Amino acid sequence: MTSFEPTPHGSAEIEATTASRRDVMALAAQATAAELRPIRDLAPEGVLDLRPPELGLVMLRGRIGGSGAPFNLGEATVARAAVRLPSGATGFGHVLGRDAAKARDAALLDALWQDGDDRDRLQRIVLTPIATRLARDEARRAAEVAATRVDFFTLVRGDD
Amino acid sequence: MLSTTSAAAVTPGFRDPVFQAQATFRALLDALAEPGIERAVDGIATAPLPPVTAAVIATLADFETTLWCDAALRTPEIAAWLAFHTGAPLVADPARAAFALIGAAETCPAFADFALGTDVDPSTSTTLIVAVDGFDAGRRFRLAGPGIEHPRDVTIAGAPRDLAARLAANGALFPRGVDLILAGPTSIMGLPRSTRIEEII
Repeated sequence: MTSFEPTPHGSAEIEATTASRRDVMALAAQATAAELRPIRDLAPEGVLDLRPPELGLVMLRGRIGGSGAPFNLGEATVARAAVRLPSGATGFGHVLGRDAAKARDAALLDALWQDGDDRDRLQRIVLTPIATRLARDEARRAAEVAATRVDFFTLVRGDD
Repeated sequence: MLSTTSAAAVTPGFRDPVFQAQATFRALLDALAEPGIERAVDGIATAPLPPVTAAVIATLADFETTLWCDAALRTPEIAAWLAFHTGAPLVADPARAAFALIGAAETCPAFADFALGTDVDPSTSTTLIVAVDGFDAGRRFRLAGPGIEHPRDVTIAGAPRDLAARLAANGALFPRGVDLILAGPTSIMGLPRSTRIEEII
């Protein structure tokens, strides 16, 4: 029974903002610590650590097939952090693993993206290199898989 | 999940959550084991709540404990801070609260309005965290009971006006009844339901 309003839904603008923010967070989740580190040079003075980076566990749930019953697969370590910029934008970072600095970098990235002032610079310095590397990794894996591909086909038996 | 607008109002909690929460928890254990002895607590100065109250509730509350705030503490900033740092749900009915935060001790509701537990499960009662002005001056009380070897005199500034009568009625319900944690500017004092109290006039 809290007195603040839930996030409004249905507005196209808000949905677009949420979608782009989700894409940025997805990239941050797949980035390496070194790929996120440049974000620190883009952060303004006076960033407030709402939640200093901390480590914890999340339960991973799995299910087999689309209709299987959910089960607890096991626990994974996560690091999380929350920061606020002087402009008021609040960023959240959750990353797998125990790298506290990476979680804070991810939170900074989320906050700066919401700030919206300098998205081009964010794209150029942080996001594009991550996306490029991910695409390259994906292409290489696809090539490795393709090299071992076997095509099965059935010879038509001659009947005459 | 918190919306961006409410999170924008949130201020930081513990600087070092693990060690500060452990130190506060130890102070709480000691305060309830030896009622009437002041225990120092490192308050959270950045919270919208009284700093020591904030440290106590950040230590005790999680997503399974229900909270109730009195009118003095029922603001959007405090609700957002509690939601962000503890995840605990706020309830409107004090009888459903695991912890009650009292900002204005003078107007604290009757203790019988809170959860008193049952004879089978006395632990399901509400723990009240009452912000007071301090323990250096104010009205004097004499405490006795478990954890107190010889009757102990304490002074409490800004306590509820009829504290001794309220606690006598609360103690008569034993094993049911509420427990009190008095939160001063830099320290806490425990008054569990087992403590007998009389005012020295």
